[in-house]
Amino acid sequence: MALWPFLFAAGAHEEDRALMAAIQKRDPQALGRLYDRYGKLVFSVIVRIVRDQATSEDLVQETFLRAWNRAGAFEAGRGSAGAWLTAIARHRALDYIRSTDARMARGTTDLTAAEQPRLFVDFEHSLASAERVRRIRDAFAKLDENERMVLELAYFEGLSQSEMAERTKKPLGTIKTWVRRGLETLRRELGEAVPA
Amino acid sequence: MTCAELRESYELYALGVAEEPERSEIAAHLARDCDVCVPGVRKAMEAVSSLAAVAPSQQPRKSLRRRILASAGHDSRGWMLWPAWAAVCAALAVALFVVRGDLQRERERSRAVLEFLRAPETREATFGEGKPEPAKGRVFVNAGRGVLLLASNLGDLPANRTYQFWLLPRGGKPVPAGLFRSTAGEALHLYSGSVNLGDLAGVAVSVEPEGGSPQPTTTPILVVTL
Repeated sequence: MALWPFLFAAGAHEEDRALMAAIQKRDPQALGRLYDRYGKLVFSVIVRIVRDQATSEDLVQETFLRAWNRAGAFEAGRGSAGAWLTAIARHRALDYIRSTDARMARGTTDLTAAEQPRLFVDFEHSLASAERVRRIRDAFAKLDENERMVLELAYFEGLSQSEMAERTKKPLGTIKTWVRRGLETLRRELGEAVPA
Repeated sequence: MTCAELRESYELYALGVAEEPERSEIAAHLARDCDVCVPGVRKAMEAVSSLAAVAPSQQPRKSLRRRILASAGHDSRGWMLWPAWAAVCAALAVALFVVRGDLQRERERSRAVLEFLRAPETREATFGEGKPEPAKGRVFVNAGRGVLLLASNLGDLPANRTYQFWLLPRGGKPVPAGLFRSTAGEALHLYSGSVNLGDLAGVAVSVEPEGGSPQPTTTPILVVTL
């Protein structure tokens, strides 16, 4: 009974991979289909970060153009397009708010390194799966309030752990504990192994 | 540091909050295709990527899909906008790397160029093809929006010189339409404003002193008859 989500995930990966292979051959229709699969998710991530509709749409456009232009470096046969796209989207949006907010240090967190296409291969799950998204949201809801807060500050606001400590007036050690514990809980709730 | 020592920091690295020296050490391990750290960071990437799903769902406007396809060179009417899309992609790529105050300006310029190219009434002319002269490219004209120049094979200019764009009215003097510089021999220049197409004979580009001139002071390097 519990098998179907995994079958769906496998199918979602296959469709992603076929789309990325077509994009590598410069098929614009494939870009359209990729947008149909991930446009809403990418837009949601960007809106959560920049909180402005028009700017978010510009950044979604930049995200898909960047994927279109860098698709050659993506390992279409093994890659996870949705995770790669959301990483690009997140970085574009955080770059944007840093560029408009002089109070934020540029490059406090290391974003560009975490966008390399080769790091988005051999994923078990696809973000195109509604079941996967539901499970992630359920798992996130099980974190305690502080763990949710620091993960959101890191992911959606790009704050380093030191910046979080400053923002929340909490000791750095406490922030580090919340971040680690939040990631552990999320991983455990999603039934994933410790990275090794 | 050893892979075992770095293992606990994979997820922090994926989240962008790893501290030194772990951040640099992981980057170094990834750079040398470390058999342990590459799969470890990939696994961490999958966990961190899942946070994207936490963002409250938002629906973009339907027109965004068409914009994205147009900027990738595919129009919903089924024809390709090459080479315009390549120049736009280049402009957007530039926008990705400019900093602070320039970012918003470049983004607005990119958006203006995309909207210009998408407008159905925009018309196109080519120049320089098959000629020994180096400069070649395309001009797009839109009565309500202005004139867009895409040029390549432009020569390098000394620091105290700039390219100046001119509108050429029928029977009148050239009208200044903005200054631009080339990058690696290529340039994209948008003159924004309404244009009387019935009165516009063509456009031209000349090399002028920095700051531009009220009228051309050198022989134009290109003249495009519309």
